[in-house]
Amino acid sequence: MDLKNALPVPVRSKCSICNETIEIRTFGLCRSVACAKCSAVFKYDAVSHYLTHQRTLSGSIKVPYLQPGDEGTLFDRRYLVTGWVVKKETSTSFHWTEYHLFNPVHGFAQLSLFDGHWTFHEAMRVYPRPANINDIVLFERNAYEVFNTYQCRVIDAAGEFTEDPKDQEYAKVREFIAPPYMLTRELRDNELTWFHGRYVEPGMVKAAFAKNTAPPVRTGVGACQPMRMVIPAHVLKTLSVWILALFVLTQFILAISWSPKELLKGDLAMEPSVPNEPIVSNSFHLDGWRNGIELFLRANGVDNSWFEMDGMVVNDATGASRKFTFNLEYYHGYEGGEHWREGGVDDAIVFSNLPAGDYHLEMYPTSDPKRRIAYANIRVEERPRLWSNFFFLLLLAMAFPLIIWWRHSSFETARWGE
Amino acid sequence: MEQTCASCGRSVRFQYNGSWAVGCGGCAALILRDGFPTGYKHMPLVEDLSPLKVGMVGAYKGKEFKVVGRTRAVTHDGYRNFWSLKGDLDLPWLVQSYGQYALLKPYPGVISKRELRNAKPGTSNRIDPGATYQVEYADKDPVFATEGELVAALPVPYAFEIEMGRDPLDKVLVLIKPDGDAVCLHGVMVEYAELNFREPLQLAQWT
Repeated sequence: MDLKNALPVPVRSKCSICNETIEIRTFGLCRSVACAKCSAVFKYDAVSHYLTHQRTLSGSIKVPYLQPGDEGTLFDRRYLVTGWVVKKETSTSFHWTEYHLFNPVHGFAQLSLFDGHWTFHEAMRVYPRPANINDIVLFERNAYEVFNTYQCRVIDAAGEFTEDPKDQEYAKVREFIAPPYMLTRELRDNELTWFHGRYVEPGMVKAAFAKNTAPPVRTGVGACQPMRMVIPAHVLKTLSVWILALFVLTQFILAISWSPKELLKGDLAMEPSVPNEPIVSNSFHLDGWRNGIELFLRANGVDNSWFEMDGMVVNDATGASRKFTFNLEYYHGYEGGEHWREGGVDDAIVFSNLPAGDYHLEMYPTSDPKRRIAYANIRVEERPRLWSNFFFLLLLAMAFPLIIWWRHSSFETARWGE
Repeated sequence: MEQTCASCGRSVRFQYNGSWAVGCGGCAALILRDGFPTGYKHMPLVEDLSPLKVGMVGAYKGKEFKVVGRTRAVTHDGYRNFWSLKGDLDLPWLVQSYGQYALLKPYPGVISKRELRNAKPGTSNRIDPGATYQVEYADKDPVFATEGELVAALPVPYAFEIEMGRDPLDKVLVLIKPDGDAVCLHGVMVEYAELNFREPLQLAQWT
């Protein structure tokens, strides 16, 4: 036999039920054949090539994408399609197709199709190790989670098989996933087999077997379908930590390297010289196109009392103003053997986006009648540390990892919901 | 040395000194140096698309070997080719089945019959002196077909076979005779490419 170009010419026989031609390409490896037209299953005698009818399957599904005899190259290996079976999970209505692929050097492999999702399975030489936690198994540095445990039955078949397709019904199957990979443990009375599977894009199957028609459309998320443009969890985690660290570091450097410019400072008498008229500060100048200032008020005289100040930052030239209100309260005492305190004697307000120009403050103070405040310290600083900006930008930067995380979470929910 | 096939009467010839058996070119029966094994069922050798052929020369880890014969054991559920190797390798068997390859030699240890009685796929099995293997496959009542010459002895006919594996690539094959005696072959799984056959071009499009 010369395997260089093609396998030997198939043995041809006739289905005794429907007279359809049946071709056998694996010769001595073949034990059963199923007619593609009527789903009759025959026992095959490799010596006499005689077919003995065993049973007829329900044959309800007749839309295979690959046909026995098709040849293609997947993952750099040439395969011959020898047959397909349609299996149904015994406890659910899920059913799928398994295409049997043959290579004379590497043996048999399977290409399964469920809801438009393809997985390529090969028998493993080395079995995975149990991780002893949550039924996880380890193989080639991947941890595989249990995805499904089931028994199934064959409802349709066509082509040739190394065993009676019905024998597969007794298998106890357990699937483990670490997308794009899958491990399948199949235990039967006389055999334990592990398969290593990997997700195959539908376009890859089409190209591998040179098909002219489009493969079945995908629905939902496949058991071991990888997310497209996925960022691995460890990369996402590292990226998030780096973004966070970069922002904190930047803010820290700015904080220690920058000293605010004092525009105005002084103790102002809190009793207006003319009743009902505002207390007016000296003017200060802002240079930038858009300026930020921070206004500080400190009234040390507030003691078990309150002090309020309404006011405005007023542009000298245009009269445009921005209002502010300070509410200072400071109470303290001794009760039940413990000291207590509440509030404080100082506060600060930030103004942003002020155009260039000269400004002054107009203030209307009101003291607690029980304790009048004669003087308060007012200070105005330019370009304050805007922590709100920092947190806003940080949130914006973290949006990317958060969106990725949300996308991944939705994808996994869809996968496990199948 | 010449023998006559007890099955079909054809004359068969031993080429290698000390080899254990030869396959009949007519009916694929296995013929020992001293005659026909008893209680043995044989069948014609059929095409099984094996990439191995009698006469091929290969090398494993620098040690050259020649494939001089094979016995094909066929059961209800599968098949196994025992390819007999002659050469520098101290592993006389290349066992091949469905794309899996293992180089094996007789295991010198003692095999506990009690352990084997409970061996079924999915269970673990301790092979004396203490290595634990996972039982992967069990089958019975093979029919044999032989070609070429078998250098080392094989417990043919055997009634049961148990295949076991252990990390990383250890492989054990226990062949149990009808009288209950067990013979164990032990070795390592290999890839076809590791066998470095001199005629790889024959399989250029399939490797």
